[in-house]
Amino acid sequence: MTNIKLNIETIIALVLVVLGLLIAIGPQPHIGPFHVCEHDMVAGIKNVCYWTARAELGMGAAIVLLSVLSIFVKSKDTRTGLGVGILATSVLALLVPTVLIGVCAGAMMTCRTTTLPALTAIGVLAVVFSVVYILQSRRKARAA
Amino acid sequence: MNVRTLSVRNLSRRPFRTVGLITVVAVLAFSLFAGSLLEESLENGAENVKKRLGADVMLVPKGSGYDAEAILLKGEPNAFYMDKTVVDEIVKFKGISEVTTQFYLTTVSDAECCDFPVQLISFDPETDFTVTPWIEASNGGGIGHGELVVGSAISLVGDNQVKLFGNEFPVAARLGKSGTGLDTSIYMTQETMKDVAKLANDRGYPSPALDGIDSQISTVLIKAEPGYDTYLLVQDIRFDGVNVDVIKSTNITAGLTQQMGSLIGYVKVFEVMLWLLAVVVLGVLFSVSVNERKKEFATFRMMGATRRKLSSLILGESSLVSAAGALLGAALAALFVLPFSDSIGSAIGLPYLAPSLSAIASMFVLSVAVAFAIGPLAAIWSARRIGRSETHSMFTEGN
Amino acid sequence: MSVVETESLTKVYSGGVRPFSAVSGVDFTINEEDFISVMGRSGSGKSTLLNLVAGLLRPTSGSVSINGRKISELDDRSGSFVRNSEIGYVPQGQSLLGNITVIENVVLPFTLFKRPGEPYGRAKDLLERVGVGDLADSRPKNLSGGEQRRVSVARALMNSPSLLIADEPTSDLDLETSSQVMELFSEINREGAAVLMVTHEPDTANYGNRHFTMDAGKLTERTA
Repeated sequence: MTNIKLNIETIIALVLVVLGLLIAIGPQPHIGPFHVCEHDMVAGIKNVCYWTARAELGMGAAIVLLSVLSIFVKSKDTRTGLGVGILATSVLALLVPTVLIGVCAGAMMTCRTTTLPALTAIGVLAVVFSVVYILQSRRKARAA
Repeated sequence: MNVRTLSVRNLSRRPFRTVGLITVVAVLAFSLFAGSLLEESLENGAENVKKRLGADVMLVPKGSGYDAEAILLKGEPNAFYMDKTVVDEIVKFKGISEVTTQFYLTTVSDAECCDFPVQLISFDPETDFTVTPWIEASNGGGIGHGELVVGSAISLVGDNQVKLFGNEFPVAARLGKSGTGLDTSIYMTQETMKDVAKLANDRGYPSPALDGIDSQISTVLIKAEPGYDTYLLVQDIRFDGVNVDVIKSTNITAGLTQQMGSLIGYVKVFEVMLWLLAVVVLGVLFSVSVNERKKEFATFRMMGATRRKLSSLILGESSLVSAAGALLGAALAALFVLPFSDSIGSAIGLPYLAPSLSAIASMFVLSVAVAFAIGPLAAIWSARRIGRSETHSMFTEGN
Repeated sequence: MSVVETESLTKVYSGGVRPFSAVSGVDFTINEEDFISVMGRSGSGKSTLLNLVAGLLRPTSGSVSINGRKISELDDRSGSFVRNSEIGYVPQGQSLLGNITVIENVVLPFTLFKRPGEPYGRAKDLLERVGVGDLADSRPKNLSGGEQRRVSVARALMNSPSLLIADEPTSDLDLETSSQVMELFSEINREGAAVLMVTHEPDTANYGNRHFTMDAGKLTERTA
């Protein structure tokens, strides 16, 4: 394994890995800590939160993958690029449950009381951390 | 190169210490903001219970007092009945301005409209004074046969409809969120209630309403004359031996306030202790730091720095730390407490409604300000000490 | 006008068993061509004398004047300004701030009071002059003892002082570096700044053109 320095960027990347895992697994029915409703069918059609959970699975996985890659990559410019990718995916992960796909309309449903706030909070954190990551890699690139 | 640049450099050269200090302040800011959000939301909820109830006194069948409160506070649907003749016994008491009745029914969870059991309430449009004002405020009109007025938690289908027991009913008005149990209620006229009861019956949910709806009621709501002491009215009712439980709206809120009061009291004590702790922790840490850096300060002094400049170095660092911590803590609290309002409310089991945006903003600013104050306060003692000691002793000691 | 003039300068410490005179009735004058070396045992009061001349200590009695101004009577802000603009101090041992770069250390004296102009050009020139121009953006911890000492000298010269005070400038340096640093001081003295130096090394003291001894608080000049 190549030399991984425990510096600020690595720490941020690890945080992003954790956030990505939460985004991916959190909303999944049955297993996630803030899972969407268990009965995912309404009149034989999969309902909204089911699709949101599926989308978040993909985006969370992408965030995890990009963050892990960025730990091993040495080039500062590549790191910035990865950071931008993580930022874009995080923004999407934030927009999917809120605007793009949404969750079920019922005010008392778990997807609305628990899943949506959780994904919102985690999405915001992922966006903030990825911005910090990009800024940090630019700072390092300038200093070099 | 100035005091601020130096402060930033000094802080970033010792990241673990700086992060630790920021965390201390952030924890405090978090608890301050979260605590005030909690308190405001509980107060909002309690206020709304009184408003939604609309009446000064509520009468329910004897033994149903707890169930009635459960409806208001937790949204737990309940149904209970007494004979309509109770009204005749009531109207003769002194101090009564208006009287109306309501009839309750509950749905079961798969009533199609919702994922949760719902409280159905029928009222008498001729005598009602609780629901009607909101309907008028909401749509300017009234409610007709077959129309429903729903609480904010009820979901609509199609073109403003609610599905109940296989039928779709048009919605005349949708009430705003109150944070009380009445957000999961549906109001209708007595005629509509009969139709609903019949539908339920056809579906295999036999309903007492079908037989009793013309002779039974669930509650009598009383509005007292302005200025009349409701206590006297309650006494009259009780002494007369009417077979009811009496619920005073002020009692509900008083009970709520008590429950809330101890919760909020604990939170406040915790916050004060945390604030003091933060000042002490930061004060000690900055004092240690100042001691370690005596030589650095001596060098500054020799270069011609005034005593004030030295003080401002320390104050600058501590202010940066507490500013960062305050903003971070309050922001995290906003991120995690606000979106989870509904979950928190149902977890606490009390009426809970997030405050308005402007209220939230002022609470945010206040929490940040109080948390920020820790930095300068903690450093003042060290800053003055540095400003006073003579360089000569600083310098040889440091060697 | 003399650069430094002291009149019955005295500093008494009364904290211990009995009052102790660190500096006792010192009268002397420093002119701008003077390169003064003061020798004496530890505890003889040398450091106290330096601190009094620099205005960092208030005398118990007597006075110190810098370029005609009695600094012992000035308030903190005025006194600090005099110290900042008229005196350059090269302290004993390591005194650079580790959190900033070398050149940032050098400009510090300039930034302590509002002045017109931009200091970094002059700072770079000074660093070149003392022989460490290429280390401008390094951190002090990466410099050798001798290099750090030179940076201290550059810093001391930042505001073109009329008096350079040096406390044991060669005590932690090797022979070669010591002579390099002392040559630097001689150069500065020739260019018009007075130098007041305290040392316990005879070789270093020899660079001066006036020699003093400090003993039990009393300053005596050695003639030839």
